[in-house]
Amino acid sequence: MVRLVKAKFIPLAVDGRVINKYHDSEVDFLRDLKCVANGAHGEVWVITAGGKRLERGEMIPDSKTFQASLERGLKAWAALPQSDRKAGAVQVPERGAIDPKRAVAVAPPEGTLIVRVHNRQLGRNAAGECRHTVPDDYIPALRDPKLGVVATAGTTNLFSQPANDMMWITKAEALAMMPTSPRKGQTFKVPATLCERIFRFQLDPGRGLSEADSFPNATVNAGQLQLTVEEASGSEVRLRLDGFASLNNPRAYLQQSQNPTTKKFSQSQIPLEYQPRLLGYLAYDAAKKVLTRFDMIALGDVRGRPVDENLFGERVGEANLLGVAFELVTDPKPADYLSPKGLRDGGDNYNLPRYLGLKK
Amino acid sequence: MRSAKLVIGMLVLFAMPALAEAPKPIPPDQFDNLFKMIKPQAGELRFQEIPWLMSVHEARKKAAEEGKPIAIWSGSGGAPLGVC
Repeated sequence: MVRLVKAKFIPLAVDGRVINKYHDSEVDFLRDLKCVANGAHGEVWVITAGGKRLERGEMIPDSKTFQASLERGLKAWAALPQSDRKAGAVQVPERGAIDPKRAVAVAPPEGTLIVRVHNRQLGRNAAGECRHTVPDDYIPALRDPKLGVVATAGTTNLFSQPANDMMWITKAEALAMMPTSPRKGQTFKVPATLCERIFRFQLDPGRGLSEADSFPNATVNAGQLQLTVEEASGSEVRLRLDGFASLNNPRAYLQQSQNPTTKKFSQSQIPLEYQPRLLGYLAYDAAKKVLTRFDMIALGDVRGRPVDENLFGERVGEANLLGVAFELVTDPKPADYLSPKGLRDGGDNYNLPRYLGLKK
Repeated sequence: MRSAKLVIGMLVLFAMPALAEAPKPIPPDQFDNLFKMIKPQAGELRFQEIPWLMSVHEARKKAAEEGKPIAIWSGSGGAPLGVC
Protein backbone atom coordinates (compact mmCIF):
# COMPACT_ATOMS: atom_id res chain seq x y z
CA MET A 1 0.00 0.00 0.00
CA VAL A 2 2.85 2.36 0.88
CA ARG A 3 4.47 1.80 -2.51
CA LEU A 4 1.17 2.31 -4.31
CA VAL A 5 0.44 5.62 -2.58
CA LYS A 6 3.95 6.92 -3.13
CA ALA A 7 3.95 6.04 -6.81
CA LYS A 8 0.45 6.83 -7.97
CA PHE A 9 -1.03 9.51 -5.73
CA ILE A 10 -0.34 12.86 -4.19
CA PRO A 11 -0.78 11.99 -0.50
CA LEU A 12 -2.54 14.53 1.70
CA ALA A 13 -3.13 14.21 5.45
CA VAL A 14 -5.56 16.55 7.20
CA ASP A 15 -7.27 17.04 10.53
CA GLY A 16 -10.81 16.50 9.31
CA ARG A 17 -12.29 18.43 12.20
CA VAL A 18 -11.20 21.71 10.67
CA ILE A 19 -14.38 21.64 8.62
CA ASN A 20 -16.42 21.99 11.82
CA LYS A 21 -15.54 25.58 12.53
CA TYR A 22 -13.06 27.15 10.12
CA HIS A 23 -13.60 28.89 6.81
CA ASP A 24 -11.03 29.51 4.10
CA SER A 25 -10.49 28.21 0.59
CA GLU A 26 -8.82 24.99 1.76
CA VAL A 27 -11.40 24.13 4.41
CA ASP A 28 -14.29 25.07 2.16
CA PHE A 29 -12.91 22.81 -0.57
CA LEU A 30 -12.89 19.86 1.84
CA ARG A 31 -16.34 20.68 3.16
CA ASP A 32 -17.88 21.03 -0.28
CA LEU A 33 -16.32 17.79 -1.49
CA LYS A 34 -17.51 15.86 1.59
CA CYS A 35 -14.25 13.93 1.63
CA VAL A 36 -13.15 14.19 5.25
CA ALA A 37 -14.25 12.69 8.54
CA ASN A 38 -15.13 15.52 10.89
CA GLY A 39 -14.78 13.44 14.02
CA ALA A 40 -12.57 10.87 15.64
CA HIS A 41 -12.89 8.18 12.99
CA GLY A 42 -10.59 8.26 9.99
CA GLU A 43 -11.54 8.48 6.36
CA VAL A 44 -9.75 8.15 3.03
CA TRP A 45 -10.90 9.35 -0.38
CA VAL A 46 -9.41 9.53 -3.83
CA ILE A 47 -10.12 13.00 -5.22
CA THR A 48 -8.93 15.22 -8.03
CA ALA A 49 -7.20 18.59 -7.99
CA GLY A 50 -10.19 20.04 -9.78
CA GLY A 51 -12.61 18.94 -7.08
CA LYS A 52 -14.10 15.57 -8.04
CA ARG A 53 -14.57 12.79 -5.51
CA LEU A 54 -13.78 9.40 -7.04
CA GLU A 55 -13.58 6.52 -4.57
CA ARG A 56 -13.72 5.97 -0.84
CA GLY A 57 -10.86 4.06 0.77
CA GLU A 58 -12.04 0.96 2.60
CA MET A 59 -10.12 1.15 5.84
CA ILE A 60 -10.32 -2.52 6.74
CA PRO A 61 -7.28 -3.70 8.74
CA ASP A 62 -6.08 -6.05 6.06
CA SER A 63 -3.87 -4.53 3.40
CA LYS A 64 -5.67 -6.14 0.46
CA THR A 65 -9.08 -4.53 0.93
CA PHE A 66 -7.71 -1.07 1.38
CA GLN A 67 -5.31 -1.44 -1.53
CA ALA A 68 -8.12 -2.69 -3.74
CA SER A 69 -10.18 0.40 -2.96
CA LEU A 70 -7.27 2.66 -3.88
CA GLU A 71 -6.88 0.76 -7.13
CA ARG A 72 -10.55 1.34 -7.88
CA GLY A 73 -9.86 5.00 -7.33
CA LEU A 74 -7.07 4.83 -9.89
CA LYS A 75 -9.43 3.21 -12.40
CA ALA A 76 -11.98 5.96 -11.82
CA TRP A 77 -9.19 8.49 -12.34
CA ALA A 78 -8.13 6.83 -15.62
CA ALA A 79 -11.73 7.00 -16.85
CA LEU A 80 -11.85 10.79 -16.51
CA PRO A 81 -11.43 12.98 -19.58
CA GLN A 82 -7.93 14.30 -20.23
CA SER A 83 -9.12 17.79 -19.34
CA ASP A 84 -9.56 16.59 -15.74
CA ARG A 85 -6.33 14.68 -15.33
CA LYS A 86 -3.65 15.60 -17.85
CA ALA A 87 -0.57 17.19 -16.25
CA GLY A 88 -1.01 20.95 -16.40
CA ALA A 89 -4.60 20.85 -17.57
CA VAL A 90 -6.25 21.85 -14.30
CA GLN A 91 -5.78 25.38 -13.00
CA VAL A 92 -5.83 25.56 -9.22
CA PRO A 93 -6.95 28.97 -7.91
CA GLU A 94 -4.81 30.94 -5.47
CA ARG A 95 -5.22 29.85 -1.86
CA GLY A 96 -6.02 33.20 -0.32
CA ALA A 97 -5.88 33.89 3.41
CA ILE A 98 -5.97 31.07 5.96
CA ASP A 99 -8.65 31.39 8.65
CA PRO A 100 -6.73 33.26 11.40
CA LYS A 101 -8.10 30.89 14.04
CA ARG A 102 -6.23 27.97 12.50
CA ALA A 103 -3.20 29.83 11.12
CA VAL A 104 -0.94 28.70 13.95
CA ALA A 105 -1.69 25.06 13.11
CA VAL A 106 -0.60 25.71 9.52
CA ALA A 107 2.75 27.25 10.41
CA PRO A 108 4.41 27.90 13.78
CA PRO A 109 5.64 31.36 14.82
CA GLU A 110 8.74 32.58 13.03
CA GLY A 111 11.97 31.11 14.32
CA THR A 112 10.26 28.15 16.01
CA LEU A 113 12.30 24.96 16.17
CA ILE A 114 10.49 21.71 15.50
CA VAL A 115 11.24 18.63 17.61
CA ARG A 116 9.88 15.21 16.80
CA VAL A 117 8.78 13.24 19.88
CA HIS A 118 8.24 9.51 20.18
CA ASN A 119 6.62 7.82 23.20
CA ARG A 120 7.21 4.11 23.55
CA GLN A 121 6.33 1.62 26.25
CA LEU A 122 9.35 -0.49 27.21
CA GLY A 123 9.99 -3.58 29.27
CA ARG A 124 12.98 -5.00 31.12
CA ASN A 125 14.80 -8.21 30.37
CA ALA A 126 16.03 -10.65 32.99
CA ALA A 127 19.17 -8.57 33.49
CA GLY A 128 17.09 -5.45 34.10
CA GLU A 129 17.99 -3.88 30.76
CA CYS A 130 15.43 -2.07 28.62
CA ARG A 131 13.78 -3.92 25.77
CA HIS A 132 10.77 -3.56 23.50
CA THR A 133 7.48 -4.85 24.87
CA VAL A 134 6.03 -8.25 24.01
CA PRO A 135 2.41 -9.45 24.23
CA ASP A 136 2.89 -10.97 27.69
CA ASP A 137 3.69 -7.49 29.05
CA TYR A 138 0.02 -6.55 28.60
CA ILE A 139 -2.95 -7.51 30.73
CA PRO A 140 -4.85 -10.67 29.70
CA ALA A 141 -7.86 -8.71 28.48
CA LEU A 142 -5.69 -7.19 25.74
CA ARG A 143 -4.27 -10.55 24.66
CA ASP A 144 -7.15 -12.98 24.81
CA PRO A 145 -10.10 -12.42 22.45
CA LYS A 146 -12.18 -14.88 24.54
CA LEU A 147 -12.43 -12.23 27.27
CA GLY A 148 -14.38 -10.07 24.85
CA VAL A 149 -12.27 -6.91 24.97
CA VAL A 150 -10.15 -7.32 21.83
CA ALA A 151 -11.00 -8.90 18.52
CA THR A 152 -7.61 -10.48 17.88
CA ALA A 153 -4.63 -11.65 19.87
CA GLY A 154 -2.39 -9.31 17.87
CA THR A 155 -3.88 -6.11 19.32
CA THR A 156 -0.90 -5.64 21.61
CA ASN A 157 1.27 -5.05 18.54
CA LEU A 158 -0.33 -1.62 18.30
CA PHE A 159 0.78 -0.70 21.81
CA SER A 160 4.34 -1.90 21.32
CA GLN A 161 5.01 0.67 18.60
CA PRO A 162 5.91 4.27 19.32
CA ALA A 163 3.40 7.09 19.15
CA ASN A 164 4.64 10.27 17.56
CA ASP A 165 3.99 13.84 18.46
CA MET A 166 5.75 17.13 17.85
CA MET A 167 7.12 19.82 20.15
CA TRP A 168 7.94 23.42 19.40
CA ILE A 169 10.81 25.41 20.90
CA THR A 170 10.42 29.16 20.50
CA LYS A 171 13.15 31.35 19.12
CA ALA A 172 13.53 33.02 22.54
CA GLU A 173 13.84 29.68 24.33
CA ALA A 174 16.44 28.47 21.85
CA LEU A 175 18.47 31.66 22.32
CA ALA A 176 18.28 31.23 26.08
CA MET A 177 19.92 27.82 25.73
CA MET A 178 22.85 29.24 23.72
CA PRO A 179 24.95 31.34 26.09
CA THR A 180 27.03 33.99 24.35
CA SER A 181 30.21 33.29 26.33
CA PRO A 182 29.96 29.63 27.31
CA ARG A 183 32.48 28.12 29.72
CA LYS A 184 33.08 24.43 30.10
CA GLY A 185 31.28 23.27 33.22
CA GLN A 186 28.89 26.23 33.26
CA THR A 187 25.37 25.24 34.33
CA PHE A 188 22.05 26.95 33.83
CA LYS A 189 18.39 26.04 33.75
CA VAL A 190 16.31 25.11 30.75
CA PRO A 191 13.83 27.98 30.18
CA ALA A 192 10.83 27.65 32.48
CA THR A 193 8.27 27.80 29.69
CA LEU A 194 9.99 24.95 27.86
CA CYS A 195 10.21 22.89 31.05
CA GLU A 196 6.50 23.31 31.62
CA ARG A 197 5.73 22.38 28.02
CA ILE A 198 7.75 19.19 28.33
CA PHE A 199 6.24 18.22 31.69
CA ARG A 200 2.65 19.07 30.78
CA PHE A 201 2.38 17.89 27.20
CA GLN A 202 5.20 15.56 26.25
CA LEU A 203 5.77 13.13 29.13
CA ASP A 204 2.38 11.54 28.76
CA PRO A 205 1.77 7.79 29.22
CA GLY A 206 -1.46 8.13 27.28
CA ARG A 207 0.06 9.67 24.18
CA GLY A 208 -1.16 7.72 21.17
CA LEU A 209 -3.69 5.87 23.31
CA SER A 210 -6.09 8.64 24.28
CA GLU A 211 -7.11 12.14 23.28
CA ALA A 212 -6.89 13.44 26.82
CA ASP A 213 -3.82 15.01 28.42
CA SER A 214 -2.70 12.98 31.42
CA PHE A 215 -1.07 15.81 33.37
CA PRO A 216 -2.85 18.97 32.20
CA ASN A 217 -2.03 20.88 35.36
CA ALA A 218 1.68 20.10 35.50
CA THR A 219 3.83 23.18 35.98
CA VAL A 220 7.51 23.99 35.86
CA ASN A 221 7.67 22.89 39.50
CA ALA A 222 6.96 19.28 38.51
CA GLY A 223 10.67 18.71 37.95
CA GLN A 224 14.01 20.19 37.08
CA LEU A 225 15.93 20.44 33.83
CA GLN A 226 19.48 21.76 33.81
CA LEU A 227 22.05 22.34 31.09
CA THR A 228 25.82 21.94 31.49
CA VAL A 229 28.35 23.15 28.96
CA GLU A 230 30.46 20.14 28.03
CA GLU A 231 32.58 21.66 25.28
CA ALA A 232 33.04 25.29 24.32
CA SER A 233 36.39 25.47 22.61
CA GLY A 234 35.42 25.27 18.96
CA SER A 235 32.76 26.73 16.71
CA GLU A 236 30.31 24.18 18.06
CA VAL A 237 29.25 24.37 21.68
CA ARG A 238 27.99 21.16 23.24
CA LEU A 239 25.67 20.91 26.19
CA ARG A 240 24.34 18.09 28.33
CA LEU A 241 20.81 18.20 29.73
CA ASP A 242 20.01 16.44 32.99
CA GLY A 243 16.80 16.37 34.88
CA PHE A 244 13.81 14.62 36.31
CA ALA A 245 10.07 15.02 36.55
CA SER A 246 7.49 13.81 39.01
CA LEU A 247 4.08 13.83 37.40
CA ASN A 248 0.88 12.58 38.91
CA ASN A 249 -2.86 12.74 38.39
CA PRO A 250 -5.01 11.25 41.18
CA ARG A 251 -7.95 10.74 38.76
CA ALA A 252 -10.28 10.84 41.75
CA TYR A 253 -13.33 10.90 39.47
CA LEU A 254 -12.59 7.27 38.58
CA GLN A 255 -13.21 6.21 42.16
CA GLN A 256 -16.90 6.90 41.58
CA SER A 257 -17.36 6.05 37.95
CA GLN A 258 -15.56 3.77 35.54
CA ASN A 259 -16.47 2.09 32.32
CA PRO A 260 -17.77 -1.37 33.49
CA THR A 261 -15.47 -3.31 31.16
CA THR A 262 -12.47 -1.30 32.27
CA LYS A 263 -13.39 -1.75 35.90
CA LYS A 264 -13.76 -5.49 35.42
CA PHE A 265 -10.45 -6.15 33.71
CA SER A 266 -8.10 -3.38 34.83
CA GLN A 267 -5.34 -4.46 37.17
CA SER A 268 -3.77 -1.06 37.77
CA GLN A 269 -4.09 1.59 40.44
CA ILE A 270 -6.37 4.53 39.66
CA PRO A 271 -3.90 7.39 40.25
CA LEU A 272 -1.52 7.88 37.32
CA GLU A 273 2.15 8.60 38.04
CA TYR A 274 5.20 9.01 35.85
CA GLN A 275 8.60 9.78 37.32
CA PRO A 276 11.21 9.83 34.61
CA ARG A 277 14.81 10.90 34.55
CA LEU A 278 15.83 12.93 31.52
CA LEU A 279 19.14 13.05 29.69
CA GLY A 280 19.88 14.98 26.55
CA TYR A 281 22.58 16.43 24.34
CA LEU A 282 22.40 19.79 22.64
CA ALA A 283 24.76 21.57 20.29
CA TYR A 284 24.81 24.98 18.69
CA ASP A 285 26.83 26.96 16.20
CA ALA A 286 28.37 29.67 18.35
CA ALA A 287 28.84 32.11 15.49
CA LYS A 288 25.43 31.71 13.88
CA LYS A 289 23.59 31.17 17.17
CA VAL A 290 21.72 28.24 15.69
CA LEU A 291 20.76 25.15 17.62
CA THR A 292 21.98 22.17 15.61
CA ARG A 293 21.15 19.35 18.01
CA PHE A 294 18.45 18.72 20.59
CA ASP A 295 18.38 15.02 21.38
CA MET A 296 16.80 14.01 24.65
CA ILE A 297 15.26 10.98 26.30
CA ALA A 298 12.99 10.55 29.28
CA LEU A 299 12.90 7.16 30.95
CA GLY A 300 11.02 6.06 34.00
CA ASP A 301 8.21 4.04 35.50
CA VAL A 302 4.52 4.62 35.02
CA ARG A 303 2.10 3.56 37.71
CA GLY A 304 -1.59 3.31 36.79
CA ARG A 305 -3.14 2.41 33.47
CA PRO A 306 -2.28 4.87 30.69
CA VAL A 307 -5.87 5.73 29.77
CA ASP A 308 -8.52 6.58 32.32
CA GLU A 309 -11.55 5.46 30.35
CA ASN A 310 -10.32 2.20 28.78
CA LEU A 311 -7.68 -0.50 28.86
CA PHE A 312 -5.51 0.67 25.95
CA GLY A 313 -1.88 -0.08 26.62
CA GLU A 314 -2.43 -1.38 30.13
CA ARG A 315 0.47 -3.45 31.36
CA VAL A 316 0.92 -6.25 33.81
CA GLY A 317 2.56 -5.20 37.05
CA GLU A 318 2.60 -2.17 39.28
CA ALA A 319 5.28 -0.15 37.51
CA ASN A 320 6.20 -0.19 33.85
CA LEU A 321 8.76 1.66 31.80
CA LEU A 322 7.91 4.46 29.41
CA GLY A 323 10.58 6.02 27.21
CA VAL A 324 10.18 9.31 25.35
CA ALA A 325 12.67 10.42 22.70
CA PHE A 326 13.00 13.99 21.42
CA GLU A 327 14.91 14.86 18.25
CA LEU A 328 15.40 18.22 16.57
CA VAL A 329 14.17 18.30 12.97
CA THR A 330 16.88 20.18 11.12
CA ASP A 331 15.33 20.02 7.64
CA PRO A 332 11.56 20.02 8.09
CA LYS A 333 9.43 18.35 5.45
CA PRO A 334 5.74 19.28 5.07
CA ALA A 335 4.66 16.52 7.46
CA ASP A 336 6.97 17.90 10.15
CA TYR A 337 4.72 20.94 10.42
CA LEU A 338 2.11 18.77 12.10
CA SER A 339 0.92 20.77 15.06
CA PRO A 340 1.85 19.45 18.51
CA LYS A 341 -0.84 17.68 20.49
CA GLY A 342 -0.47 20.26 23.23
CA LEU A 343 -1.41 23.05 20.83
CA ARG A 344 -4.87 21.55 20.49
CA ASP A 345 -6.90 22.65 23.48
CA GLY A 346 -9.93 20.40 23.66
CA GLY A 347 -9.88 19.00 20.15
CA ASP A 348 -9.80 21.47 17.28
CA ASN A 349 -9.19 24.71 19.18
CA TYR A 350 -5.64 25.87 18.65
CA ASN A 351 -4.41 27.62 21.77
CA LEU A 352 -0.90 28.96 21.24
CA PRO A 353 -0.63 31.02 24.45
CA ARG A 354 -1.55 27.97 26.53
CA TYR A 355 0.90 25.77 24.64
CA LEU A 356 3.76 28.23 24.92
CA GLY A 357 2.96 28.92 28.57
CA LEU A 358 2.20 32.56 27.97
CA LYS A 359 -1.28 32.52 29.50
CA LYS A 360 -1.58 31.96 33.25
CA MET B 1 20.54 26.89 65.50
CA ARG B 2 19.56 23.22 65.35
CA SER B 3 15.89 24.11 65.16
CA ALA B 4 16.64 26.63 62.38
CA LYS B 5 18.49 23.96 60.41
CA LEU B 6 15.59 21.58 60.97
CA VAL B 7 13.12 24.15 59.70
CA ILE B 8 15.25 24.93 56.64
CA GLY B 9 15.69 21.25 55.93
CA MET B 10 11.97 20.63 56.10
CA LEU B 11 11.26 23.63 53.88
CA VAL B 12 13.68 22.26 51.26
CA LEU B 13 12.16 18.81 51.56
CA PHE B 14 8.60 20.02 51.05
CA ALA B 15 9.60 22.40 48.23
CA MET B 16 10.98 19.58 46.10
CA PRO B 17 8.63 17.48 43.99
CA ALA B 18 7.87 14.21 45.77
CA LEU B 19 9.56 11.09 44.41
CA ALA B 20 8.17 7.65 45.30
CA GLU B 21 11.55 5.97 44.85
CA ALA B 22 14.15 8.24 43.35
CA PRO B 23 14.63 7.00 39.77
CA LYS B 24 18.21 6.35 38.81
CA PRO B 25 19.97 8.73 36.45
CA ILE B 26 20.25 7.49 32.88
CA PRO B 27 23.85 6.36 32.31
CA PRO B 28 25.34 8.53 29.55
CA ASP B 29 26.85 5.48 27.86
CA GLN B 30 23.32 4.10 27.44
CA PHE B 31 21.96 7.22 25.76
CA ASP B 32 22.55 6.27 22.12
CA ASN B 33 21.15 2.77 22.59
CA LEU B 34 18.04 3.99 24.40
CA PHE B 35 17.49 6.83 21.95
CA LYS B 36 17.48 4.35 19.06
CA MET B 37 15.34 1.85 20.97
CA ILE B 38 12.56 4.36 21.62
CA LYS B 39 12.45 5.74 18.07
CA PRO B 40 10.67 3.81 15.30
CA GLN B 41 12.46 0.67 14.17
CA ALA B 42 12.73 -0.53 10.60
CA GLY B 43 9.29 -1.68 9.52
CA GLU B 44 7.43 0.36 12.14
CA LEU B 45 5.27 3.38 11.35
CA ARG B 46 5.63 2.63 7.64
CA PHE B 47 2.81 5.05 7.10
CA GLN B 48 5.34 7.81 7.68
CA GLU B 49 7.49 6.69 4.75
CA ILE B 50 4.82 8.30 2.56
CA PRO B 51 5.68 11.95 1.71
CA TRP B 52 2.48 13.41 3.14
CA LEU B 53 1.51 16.96 2.36
CA MET B 54 -0.60 18.85 4.85
CA SER B 55 -1.85 21.72 2.74
CA VAL B 56 -4.86 21.16 0.55
CA HIS B 57 -3.65 23.90 -1.77
CA GLU B 58 -0.17 22.44 -2.14
CA ALA B 59 -1.61 19.00 -2.79
CA ARG B 60 -3.96 20.33 -5.46
CA LYS B 61 -1.15 22.23 -7.15
CA LYS B 62 1.16 19.22 -7.17
CA ALA B 63 -1.61 16.92 -8.38
CA ALA B 64 -2.48 19.30 -11.20
CA GLU B 65 1.19 19.71 -12.21
CA GLU B 66 1.94 16.00 -12.19
CA GLY B 67 -1.36 14.71 -13.50
CA LYS B 68 -2.11 12.51 -10.46
CA PRO B 69 -5.09 11.95 -8.18
CA ILE B 70 -4.94 12.92 -4.52
CA ALA B 71 -5.29 10.35 -1.74
CA ILE B 72 -6.66 12.38 1.15
CA TRP B 73 -6.55 10.78 4.58
CA SER B 74 -8.36 12.60 7.35
CA GLY B 75 -8.49 11.93 11.05
CA SER B 76 -9.01 13.87 14.22
CA GLY B 77 -6.41 16.10 15.81
CA GLY B 78 -2.98 15.04 14.70
CA ALA B 79 -4.21 11.90 13.05
CA PRO B 80 -3.36 10.37 10.72
CA LEU B 81 0.23 11.61 11.02
CA GLY B 82 0.37 11.99 14.76
CA VAL B 83 -1.69 11.41 17.85
CA CYS B 84 -5.35 12.30 18.29
